[in-house]
Amino acid sequence: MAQITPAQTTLVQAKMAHKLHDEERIHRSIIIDRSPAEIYTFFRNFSNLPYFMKDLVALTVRSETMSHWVVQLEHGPKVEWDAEITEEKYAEMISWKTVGKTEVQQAGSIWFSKASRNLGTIVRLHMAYSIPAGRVGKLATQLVGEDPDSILLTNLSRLKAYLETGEVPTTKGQPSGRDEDLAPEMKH
Amino acid sequence: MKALCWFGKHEVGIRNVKEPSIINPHDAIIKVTSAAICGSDLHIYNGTIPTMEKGDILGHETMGEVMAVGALVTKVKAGDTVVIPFDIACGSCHFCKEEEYASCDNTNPNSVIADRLYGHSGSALFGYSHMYGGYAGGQAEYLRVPFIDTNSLVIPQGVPDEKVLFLSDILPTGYMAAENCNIKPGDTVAIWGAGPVAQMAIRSAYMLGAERVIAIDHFEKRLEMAEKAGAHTVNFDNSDSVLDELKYLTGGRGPDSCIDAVGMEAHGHTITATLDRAKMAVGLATDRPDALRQAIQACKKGGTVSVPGVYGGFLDKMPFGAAFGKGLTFKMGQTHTQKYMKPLLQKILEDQFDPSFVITHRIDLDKAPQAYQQFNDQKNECIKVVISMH
Repeated sequence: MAQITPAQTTLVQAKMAHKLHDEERIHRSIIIDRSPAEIYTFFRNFSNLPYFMKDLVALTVRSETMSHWVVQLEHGPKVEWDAEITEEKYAEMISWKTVGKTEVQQAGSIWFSKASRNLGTIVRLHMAYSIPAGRVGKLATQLVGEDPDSILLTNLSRLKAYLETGEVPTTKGQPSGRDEDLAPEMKH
Repeated sequence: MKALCWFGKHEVGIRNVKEPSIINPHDAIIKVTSAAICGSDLHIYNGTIPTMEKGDILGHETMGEVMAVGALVTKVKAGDTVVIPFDIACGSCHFCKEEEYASCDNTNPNSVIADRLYGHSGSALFGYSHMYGGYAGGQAEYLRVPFIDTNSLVIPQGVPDEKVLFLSDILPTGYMAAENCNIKPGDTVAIWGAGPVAQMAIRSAYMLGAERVIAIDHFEKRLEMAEKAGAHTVNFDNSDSVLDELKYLTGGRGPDSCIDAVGMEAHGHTITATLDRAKMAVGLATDRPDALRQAIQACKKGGTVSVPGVYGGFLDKMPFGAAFGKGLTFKMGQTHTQKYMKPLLQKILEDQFDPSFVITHRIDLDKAPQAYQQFNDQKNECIKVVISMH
């Protein structure tokens, strides 16, 4: 079987496009020490996504291709959308886009190809989105770490951590000397 | 529980905070029996480490007793006595498999900050800024340890804490600094700084076959401690030129390898050192790298410069022309502590080495804030502080 080289994959990726109005595009990649089939199978079952995706509080799979997403932004409002899987190829790629009316119109595409040596799989994530005018747009462009590129990078890291170790690293819930974290008798 | 918290430059204090609990399935909670203050904690104390937040619990040299373990912990059990390495590694990623634990991909929840600042994120660290993960540190009565099976060394019963506590950082750090020098029999190794890491590096360099070690500092007590290990010492306050002296001592050749065990807050009296202090004071510089400049200048042609000292940002006036002109090799970075803990414990258990010689102060946690000040201001008398708990 001919191996897909990164160069070929990049050419294939160039075709991925769901035209959105006034769209921005970003892409990032990460190497995960699992096989393309394993990562594809995990990701294709969208109900697995809340295990690692930042701020994704609920995801309901409604049919083979339709799903409903609820995101509670860390420093912002709750946003929801419906997504449809538009294309998929076993162990190679999945594409999806939002359907219907939503503040965060977006399209995504994830690609899996074997990495060199014994490193596992190169996972490439492409997103196209239009920055909305309202409250979410303001947040996306102003808050460091909450911008789409940071979120995309963070989610890839978290996917890798979850698949390689079985957990997502966090410090939420640990003690600190900040007022809100002090032992009850110390609060004033 | 009581914990030592950072509130700003030269501001640390004990707070009564809630106790840690198991958050992830590979976590453990340990009851801390001993913790130490590290020279690198002083960089935080002096406000030179970016991305600290008020209320952060400090401490990354810690040991104690395992109280509880998460559902997926397989090796470590409640009741075990463990030393905790300062860097937090997952044990599963490619870097961990290569024993490059400080480069672990999977433990820093804030990897995106380090990714932007450094190009890539290393492993998370205990109590060492949010860029390095923001994990609560071990100068506290209890500590949550992620991936305990990877991030602990079980100590046999009956070994005193003081003999093994420094496996958490300064002993592996000094050892790796010496190993990074690629020492060959007959070599001369020069070490800038005679603090705790340097003391471990001096002894490690001899263990690895160095014929002569030269220690450079200006605190007499530290130089005396270096002398006890057989080092030749140079007090830079009494020397017109450290560089000329090193040349003289090596027949003009220069040391085969040079270790910068000082890092970002060098003391020094050279023009560049004075300029660094002025720039740092007004926020124009992030680091004062005068020890590193001298190490580069002193090192023999084709030699190695090994840097265990911590740097955080952008370095001014680096003699890169000298480094290129002499074809130097640079080795540096956070220690892959987990790789060195076990073989070094063996040396301690076989009585080949006892790192407790470096301790000058033993205190309880309530005295820790004063100890920070003392460690920072009285470097002559105060070399290593150990906090006893429980």
